[in-house]
Amino acid sequence: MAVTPSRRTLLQVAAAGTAVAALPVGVKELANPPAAAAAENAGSEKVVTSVCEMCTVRCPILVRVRDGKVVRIEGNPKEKSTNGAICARGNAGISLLEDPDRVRTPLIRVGERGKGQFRKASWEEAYRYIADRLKAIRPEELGVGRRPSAGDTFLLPFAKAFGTPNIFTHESTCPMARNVALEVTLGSAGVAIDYSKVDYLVSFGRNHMETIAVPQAQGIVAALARGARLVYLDPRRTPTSTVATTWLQPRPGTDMAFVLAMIQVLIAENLYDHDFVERYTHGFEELAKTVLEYTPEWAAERTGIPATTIRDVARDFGGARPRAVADFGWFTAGYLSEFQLRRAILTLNALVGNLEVPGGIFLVKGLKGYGTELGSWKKPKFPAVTAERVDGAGVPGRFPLVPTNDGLIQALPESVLTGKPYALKAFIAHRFDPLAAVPDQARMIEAFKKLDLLVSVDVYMSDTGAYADVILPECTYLERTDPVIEASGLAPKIRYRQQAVPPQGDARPSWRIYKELAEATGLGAYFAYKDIDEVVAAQLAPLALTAEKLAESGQWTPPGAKPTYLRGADPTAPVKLKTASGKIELASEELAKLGFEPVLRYIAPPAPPNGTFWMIQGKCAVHTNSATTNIPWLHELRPDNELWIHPVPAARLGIRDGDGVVVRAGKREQRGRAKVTEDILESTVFAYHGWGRISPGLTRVKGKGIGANALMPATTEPVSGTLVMRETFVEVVRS
Amino acid sequence: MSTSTKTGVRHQYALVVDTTKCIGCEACSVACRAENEVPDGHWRSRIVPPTSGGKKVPMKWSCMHCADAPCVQVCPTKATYRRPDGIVVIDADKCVGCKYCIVACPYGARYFDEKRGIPDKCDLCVDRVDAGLEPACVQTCVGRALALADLADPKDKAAARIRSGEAKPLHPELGTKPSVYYVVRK
Repeated sequence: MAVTPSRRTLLQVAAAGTAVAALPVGVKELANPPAAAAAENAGSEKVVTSVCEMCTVRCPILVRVRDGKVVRIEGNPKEKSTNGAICARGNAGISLLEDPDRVRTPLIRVGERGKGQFRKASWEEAYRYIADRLKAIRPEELGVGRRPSAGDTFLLPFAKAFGTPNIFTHESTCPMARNVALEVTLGSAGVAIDYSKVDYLVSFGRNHMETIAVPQAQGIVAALARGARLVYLDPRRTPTSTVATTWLQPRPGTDMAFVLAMIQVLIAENLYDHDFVERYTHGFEELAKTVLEYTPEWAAERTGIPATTIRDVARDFGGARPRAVADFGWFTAGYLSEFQLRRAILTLNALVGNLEVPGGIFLVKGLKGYGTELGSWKKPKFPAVTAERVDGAGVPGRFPLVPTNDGLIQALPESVLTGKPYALKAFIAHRFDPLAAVPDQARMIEAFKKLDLLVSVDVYMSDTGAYADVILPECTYLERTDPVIEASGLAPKIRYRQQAVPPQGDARPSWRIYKELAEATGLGAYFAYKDIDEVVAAQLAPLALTAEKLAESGQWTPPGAKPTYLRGADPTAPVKLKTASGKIELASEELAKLGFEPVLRYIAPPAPPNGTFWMIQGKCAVHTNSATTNIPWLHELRPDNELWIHPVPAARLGIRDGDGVVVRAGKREQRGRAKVTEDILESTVFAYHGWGRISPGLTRVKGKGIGANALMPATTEPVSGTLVMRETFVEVVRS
Repeated sequence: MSTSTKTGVRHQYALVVDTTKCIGCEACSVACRAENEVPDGHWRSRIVPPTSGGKKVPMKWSCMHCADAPCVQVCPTKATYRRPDGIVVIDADKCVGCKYCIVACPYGARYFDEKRGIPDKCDLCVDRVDAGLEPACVQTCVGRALALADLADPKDKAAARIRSGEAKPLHPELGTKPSVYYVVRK
């Protein structure tokens, strides 16, 4: 046999563990529970319940640990939405953990910014270095880039204790248009889709099978298997178009024309839910008036999709109500029309009355709805902040609708380089890499070079890390216990990430990093906890729950809480929405008051200048944006990206499959290889996101592939603040 | 090697790959890599064509556990053999590293593990299966496209898909009688 006896023993233990999975498997030490007792040679095998962090979905996992090493990560079979599945990235957590490229000790820069030359430092020295520089600036001159997650529980209070309003996330590079549209239209961004019960799903480029959230992908595959239909619009053939019942290839930037025409058909042919519209929506009359002109024939001219097809989709969508859903998307930082497009998609959903019914859309049912919430450790009141944000987020007349805990990261260079409205002097990036994520990389680099202090808290020397003064090595999710997070859906749920193995090298968890940094900065009073266990205990206190109990299955739902559809039994049941009208706002006085378009109005995309292509990008299934492209196993699966180009323009340009190409947008330039394929429109080229990395610390992926963000200007959509990342036109030549 | 588990039940294993549910995500590839500690640069199982974009339906590709396996026939030391339950395995102690099996396999399912000095491949996670668990690829499958079938079990749903002809082997014309069966959209 190809397997050693010890391995066989281990597997018997694993089998026993599965057999008792009906009981709580949970387990800090599987040495005590019955499973291990049954297997005599169990050794130090244990199974730790935890939460994945290979992307933002945070699936529940079981981490198998033997002799202090993680030997396998599996999905937690107790989670009904995943059935124990995890994706390629989740399975590759071990490869991140063991990657020699990880930063395992604090580093202080010795060379020029960007060269990646550092010396090892003690944590004390690194903290002192940072604290000395922070003490020299005004509070608002510090910016922080956080990554909304469990570890972020500590950076946020650090920033607030320091007294800066300038808190950023990557949201404006990703879902911000969708979130702001949801806030304006439904009063909350906490809205989700009941995928597994949908009968008719229309997806405008939401590439579920490649931009994978396991519960969503699994829900849709199951729905399709029982006969549900999926209409998928994308200029590119993707794994989602492969499973879809209908795949349509609209011209880039014209999705909104398709949606408006669907709305027009639903109203003109009386296919909408009258009772729902009357009871739960506001502004239908205005909507009906504005969409009159948006016929399928009108939309056909713009999208390139036949009017009959658009009409058929609209009729089928209306016919499937209320189990018909138009997906409002995730990455929505594409076009200048993005905010209006997302409002239009939400309007489609309103017309079929799918709110709070099975197979529709629903408000996330958090702990608060059950009269409780997670607690927190005690901290003093944060200082009042008087300074305005540099980016105008939440500021009347600028970006009043942009959430102030997210902000507009693209505004950082303007602040630093022009001093308007004032200059940020320091920036702390926590697991956030603006140089990889934000368009106009060159200007961001200029800004980073001018900062008095740039700190990167990360597992790798990211591109931003290469320009940092200090890199603080956070340990991976497998090496730390984190604060409990909410993972609610139709019912409230919390999840608990437990440390599976000790941190490697001198890496530390963020609960410790920010506590110690706060102490060095004179803000220790805000972090008056002993350790993470005390933080978690404080979180769980209001729930009358202990960490030990929570650890048994790794997640917890309040007793008696069941998946709930507010209109499941009674279609006239009240649904409280936090909008001005208390209803779904098809027309919005709030928008009008702020000087924005209150009703749906088509925004045409720009026309590509002669000889140029639309440059679009998207994600592949085995990577999470730029964060995983250097992880050995995942890098091996997809080490590089390519420029997808249709055979017709490729022939015209003398480009053959595999040829080197130069992609140019004005003075900006990237180099890569061509993939000549009919899977993309002739007008359009495509590259996967996450390449074009520049950090010398990313030894595998550095210098590979095309970084589309480096080709783009940082254009901001005026209502939602989202970046516009699909309206860049490029020339392509053979290199 | 026994054909039965401790409970004395006979098994006849096969793998069913439902390509109508496969999303090509390669979760199976990486789960296999981790579970079997496959050396760098090698995979026992991959999605063909690799991940996204191709016109073809994504297809899990690994050892087909053939009933008339060319790798078994050419092995000079009988290191590679087929267990009565249908799983083709390698006895590392008997293997002399001649690589005949790598050349003989019409499915290109084998690689040479330099460190261990043997030609390795998918063994259907035989230890997991013997312990009553699903193979790692099946357990982690995002689309629930994979199923371990037991043709000796008349009630097994995946086996029924093989018996009905809904699930078919790849390249049956090669005459190797594979034990991996594919369901393809009509």
